[in-house]
Amino acid sequence: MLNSERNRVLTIIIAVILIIIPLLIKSNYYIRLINLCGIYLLLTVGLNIITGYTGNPNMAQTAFWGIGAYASGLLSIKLGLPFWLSLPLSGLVAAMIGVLVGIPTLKLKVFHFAIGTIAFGQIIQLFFKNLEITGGPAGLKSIPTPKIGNYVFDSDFSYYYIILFVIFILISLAYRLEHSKYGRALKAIKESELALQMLGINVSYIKVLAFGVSTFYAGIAGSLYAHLFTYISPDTFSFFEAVKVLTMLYIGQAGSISGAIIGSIVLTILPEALRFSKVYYMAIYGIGIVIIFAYLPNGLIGLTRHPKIRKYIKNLGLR
Amino acid sequence: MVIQLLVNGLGMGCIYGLVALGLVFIWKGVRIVNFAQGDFAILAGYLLASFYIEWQIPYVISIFIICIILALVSVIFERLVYRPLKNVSSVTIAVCTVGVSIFLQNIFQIIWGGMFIPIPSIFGSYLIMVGDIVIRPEYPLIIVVTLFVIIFQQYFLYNTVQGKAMRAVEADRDVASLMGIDTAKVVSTTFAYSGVLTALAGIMLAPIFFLSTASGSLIRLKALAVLVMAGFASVPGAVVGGIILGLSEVFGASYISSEYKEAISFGIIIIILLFRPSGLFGSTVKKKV
Amino acid sequence: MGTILQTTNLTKFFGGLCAVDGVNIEVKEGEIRGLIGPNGSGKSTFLNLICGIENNDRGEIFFNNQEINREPIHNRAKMGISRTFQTLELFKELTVLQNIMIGFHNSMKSNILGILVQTKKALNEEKDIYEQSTELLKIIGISNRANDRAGSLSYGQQRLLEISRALTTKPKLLLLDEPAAGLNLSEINDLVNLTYKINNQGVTIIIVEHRMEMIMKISDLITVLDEGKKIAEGKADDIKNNPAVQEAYLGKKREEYVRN
Repeated sequence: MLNSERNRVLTIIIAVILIIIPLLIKSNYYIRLINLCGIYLLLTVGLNIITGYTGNPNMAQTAFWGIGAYASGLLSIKLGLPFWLSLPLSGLVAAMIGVLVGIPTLKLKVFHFAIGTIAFGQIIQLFFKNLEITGGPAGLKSIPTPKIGNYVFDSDFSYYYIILFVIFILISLAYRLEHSKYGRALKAIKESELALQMLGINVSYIKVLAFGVSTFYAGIAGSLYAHLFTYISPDTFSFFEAVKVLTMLYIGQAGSISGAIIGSIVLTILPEALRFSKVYYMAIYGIGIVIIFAYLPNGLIGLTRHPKIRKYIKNLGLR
Repeated sequence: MVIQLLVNGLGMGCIYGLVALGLVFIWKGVRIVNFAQGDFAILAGYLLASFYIEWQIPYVISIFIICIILALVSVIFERLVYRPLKNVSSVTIAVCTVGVSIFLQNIFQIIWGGMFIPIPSIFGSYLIMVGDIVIRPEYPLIIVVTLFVIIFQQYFLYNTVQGKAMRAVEADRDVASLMGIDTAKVVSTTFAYSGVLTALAGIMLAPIFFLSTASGSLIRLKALAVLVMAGFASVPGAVVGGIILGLSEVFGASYISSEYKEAISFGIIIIILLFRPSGLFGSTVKKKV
Repeated sequence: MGTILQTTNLTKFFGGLCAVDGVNIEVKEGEIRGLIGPNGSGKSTFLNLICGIENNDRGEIFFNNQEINREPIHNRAKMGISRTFQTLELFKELTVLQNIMIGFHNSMKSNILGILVQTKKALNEEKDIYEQSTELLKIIGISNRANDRAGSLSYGQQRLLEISRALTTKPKLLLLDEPAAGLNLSEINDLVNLTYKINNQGVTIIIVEHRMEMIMKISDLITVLDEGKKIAEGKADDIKNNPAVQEAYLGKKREEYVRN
């Protein structure tokens, strides 16, 4: 079979599998897990656009996730907007705040940027916990489920298709961005900002642009999250979660969309598989972070590029 | 009332300063930020609970042992986490230290359980009374101890061979090793010293703060704020920054609001990063390219 | 031929050290100007000031009769100033082709929306740039390495790539910072030919070099700096025989040493 033919067949097979998953899975628990996977996938693909390409670690991605979630919830509850409107709007809200935050912070050196985003994330979480409008520490309840006409998406099985659809669109956009002039320039930032400026490229502008796109993804993920769980708690949008998303990116491969996808899936499903003892699992998780960042700088995808592993795959006749 | 707040603020400030000093020394030595430093301090607190309360070991001996243990822990940390990963970027190592922090917090949970452990004051219920102002004796003690640490440190760094070696390695590692200084040993000593500083901070913190598994995260973020104020590398900056933070928190909680007390540290970080990213004590370094 | 670059009293301090001291220079369009001087004379700082990497403390810089003192680097680049670096600033982890394509970034006019929606214009531009870049690689002779990591090229090829990338922005003034460093004689010959070719296309060139033979041969005029000040300016023969220049390079001290 020709390479391109084989790719097309593979794509079709994957597409079919994705579409019939809710029919194959019977348990609520697993379909909820898959939906959660999808949400983290969006967060991580978004994070890749700023952190994966330019190397600026955005530790506030989960704060923007929260901004999107609360924005969407409040737009629906207080203004009565349908989900189909509050979804893109919360993405835009997150993006606009992202641009505002990005403009001053992206001028800083990498470490200062990381600390700045940590501080911002913490302040945002503090606001979520203490403001009246966000429901305080108890969070936001009774967020309406999406509906079209009379059909209500109140089960995880139907909601799955909403998430799948959004993921499809956002991944295509991410792919287009990566293979455009912006993608190239962003990836070059890590190599030489000086050379980029000398080529007439306004590096600050494209950094802020990337940050805005990244927070847009976080906002969308937030909206999807809010209307799926119909209840959001400020504790979700924490520094710990921010580290988790960063780990998802790096375990896959920072700088690649497929890396982000793999990482988010692995790190959503793995913890569930290791559920036997929460405390021991968390200790292992801590060590896992050390191992991933230290010994797998190119993530699992990078591992497949390792010469020894390439030989192995070749021998299996898969290339 | 103001005097009370002043003393409390200074006291808390000294503790933040001590933890931040540990961070500054590590930064000057190996250019990394240790996100587990706060948990080291909490470890000292937990050890105090075990040694002093559970096993009834006399206070002074407990402190001594804990300082040694924390020094050892710091060096082990340096050998296991930092040394093998020297070629990886600093940010990556920093994230690794977050992993260590998570690991430690859960070890605390396993060993000491999840309940908050109260540590009784060594002063019993004795309180200092000045007129009608009530001051817990912990706070002045902290300030005195910190002063001693600073004096000792100044002497050590500027008047002893080992201290000068440490300063040489911080200034330029390659030149220092060319001059015959065993840089590896000096780096380990730096880590050990930062461990002792953190131990003292944790021990003094234990009676006046919540000792629970997640406290390390709170301390971490405050120490970060002080580190940013100190421009990462200023020793006096760490102490002064700590005091500024301590005073801001105490006065802020009292006059503004206590819920947003935590926001003070983060607010400070943001303001400094926006207007003086190289810290209050660094020279203004413009990020051009 | 008009003046393309002029500096008046250009001065830059680093703390207490004066790196560039009141330098007045006038470069005409189409010139090849050599810039020489002993180490530490301020040549690199001068180049940095022209392209905006450093900001001058005193004096003015005029490019095409426009004052550019406060313009950020990328604006000066858009106006037509380009530069190569002594320590190559290639995007080493990106491919050779990507390095060139990034150079064409600003000639692509579609904005982010157009790219995301994949308008016809965006798609055509991308295809167009791809072809232009591939063509350029063919001209400079490294199209067989188009998809390799830029860092995997030989040193000479990396230099060539950097200069070619600098040309993608169609500059009017090209600053070459020690382009011959690390090249062998045959590569230097190619470099000289390339420089002539670029100059013939109408690009003014300022070249900083330590290889005297090359600078003397290639420059229309040579400016000499020493300790931040301009000490001589003229044609190659005048500079060669100028006692002040000789003194700057060899130093008075040698005479004293010999005497003692």
